Amino acid sequence: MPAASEIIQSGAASGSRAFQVTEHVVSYPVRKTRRKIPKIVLQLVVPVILFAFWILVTEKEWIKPYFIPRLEKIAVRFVEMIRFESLLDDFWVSFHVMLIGYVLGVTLGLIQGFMLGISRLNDTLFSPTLNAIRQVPLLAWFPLFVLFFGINTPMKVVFITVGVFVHVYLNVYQGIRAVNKEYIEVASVFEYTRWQTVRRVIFPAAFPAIYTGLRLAASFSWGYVVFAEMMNGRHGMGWILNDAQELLDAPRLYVAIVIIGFFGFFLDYLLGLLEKRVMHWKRQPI
Amino acid sequence: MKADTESFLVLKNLSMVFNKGTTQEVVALQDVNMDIARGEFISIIGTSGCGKTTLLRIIAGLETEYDGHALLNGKPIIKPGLDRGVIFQDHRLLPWLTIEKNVGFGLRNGSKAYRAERIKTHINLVGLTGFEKSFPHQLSGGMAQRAAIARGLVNEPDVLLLDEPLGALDALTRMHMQKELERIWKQEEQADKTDNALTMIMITHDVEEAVYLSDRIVIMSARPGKLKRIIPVPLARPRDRDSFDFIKIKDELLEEFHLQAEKYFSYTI
Repeated sequence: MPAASEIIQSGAASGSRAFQVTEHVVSYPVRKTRRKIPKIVLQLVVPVILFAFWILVTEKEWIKPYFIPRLEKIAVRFVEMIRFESLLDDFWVSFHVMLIGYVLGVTLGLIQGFMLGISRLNDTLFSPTLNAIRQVPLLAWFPLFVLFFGINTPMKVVFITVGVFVHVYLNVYQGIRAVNKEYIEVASVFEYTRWQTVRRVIFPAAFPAIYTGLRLAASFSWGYVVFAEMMNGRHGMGWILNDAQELLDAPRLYVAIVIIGFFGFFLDYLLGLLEKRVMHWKRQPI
Repeated sequence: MKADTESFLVLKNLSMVFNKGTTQEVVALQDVNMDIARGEFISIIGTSGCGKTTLLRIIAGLETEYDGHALLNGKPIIKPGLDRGVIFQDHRLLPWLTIEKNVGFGLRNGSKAYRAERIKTHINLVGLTGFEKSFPHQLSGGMAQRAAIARGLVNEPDVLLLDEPLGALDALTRMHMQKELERIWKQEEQADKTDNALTMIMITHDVEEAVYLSDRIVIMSARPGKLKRIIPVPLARPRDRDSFDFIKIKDELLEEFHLQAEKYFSYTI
């Protein structure tokens, strides 16, 4: 692209005295547009660095290989666990116990949360007691549950149900209480009955808060089942953790942790996707 | 165009006290008396705290603890109803519903075809054709307010109560919407030539808006909320904002608030 000076000069050189429109082409120093680094690449930078660090540590044996085994050892152990040990069975045990407890807890939590949120009477009757009981951390209840319900699956289901229930009912209750009075007034202006208002205004308005409660409760329930299996029983991912620790089998431990972590992440990711689908009317942060 | 003069909406000795008997007692309204005829366009104007929103809410049925009488067609107003549509200052569209579902929210009964037709008519009436499937957060303030007006009208109420409907809009949109409100009011009247003329009661801060749109302007004073004066606006429509009569009434209104322009001379013809 010729610079301005050249064009003006060429115009002058042609000798024309008539008015000539010269196109001023000015070359600005062009600012280099920053090449866009895809987000996913940035997100992977830290994990890759951690991996690299791990490999470095295991190669140089800065820490005893007993604590930080080589990555290949963990991978090999993983395959062994699937083929020769009961990894898949254990995973299934954890998964389906969590599922039953989650579904039960959510159902009860939704019902109770709704009752408390909508009926002032229920709220006054039950909230104080529930709030008091809620202050005890769930894990502290565990020994009592073992006493009442034994050490097997029924106890674990109850344990998870109670944990999920506490999370869900609270979120439902608060979600309903937080519904804008303004929307409820709109419903009353259009002669909506109490029940119609609940169905068409209160529930949709509270739904984001309720869904958040459900999503968090899912993460928690996975943690609860692993915990319960660590304490008691002979099956499940939690049991693997405990057993591996007792047998000083570090690779097995790592395999179990990775699987537990991945599944938790995956579950939450799925629920996040679902959230976007269901609440497409809301502008979402991730 | 004016409907029968029989008293349609009667307010007699209307008073409203909030937190009666406590230390935070507030006299929102004191001894308000007003007769509104069917089909009238009334504006209520006043400074903040003069009880105009309370007055509107009483007529809407959203405030029930009042003293005195508020009668619609002879019957006391005790709760909200479909015969009285309300347009709030914030549009209050339900954010999880599309515009057409929001407008349909106001429609309580009817077959699917009937509802669809009514919703369509009213969306066109407010000039939002093409935005049926949009969500409220995708619309500008003026458009959302128009959707709220459509929702308020879709059930063909006898009275439309508007609480500063154009307050959140910019000046240009506001002028446009004033014309739209007048058009809608007239259109509803003509569509239903029987005695179901639409009565509009509007709260506004805009003096010019009040003179432009109303048959009568109600002036309220604050603390306690009292009806100060009612100014009739007997001008033909559509009104010219620059005509002498218009400006005279506007000045009269401003005088009530001690905001009139300095006068260097005055004359009468």
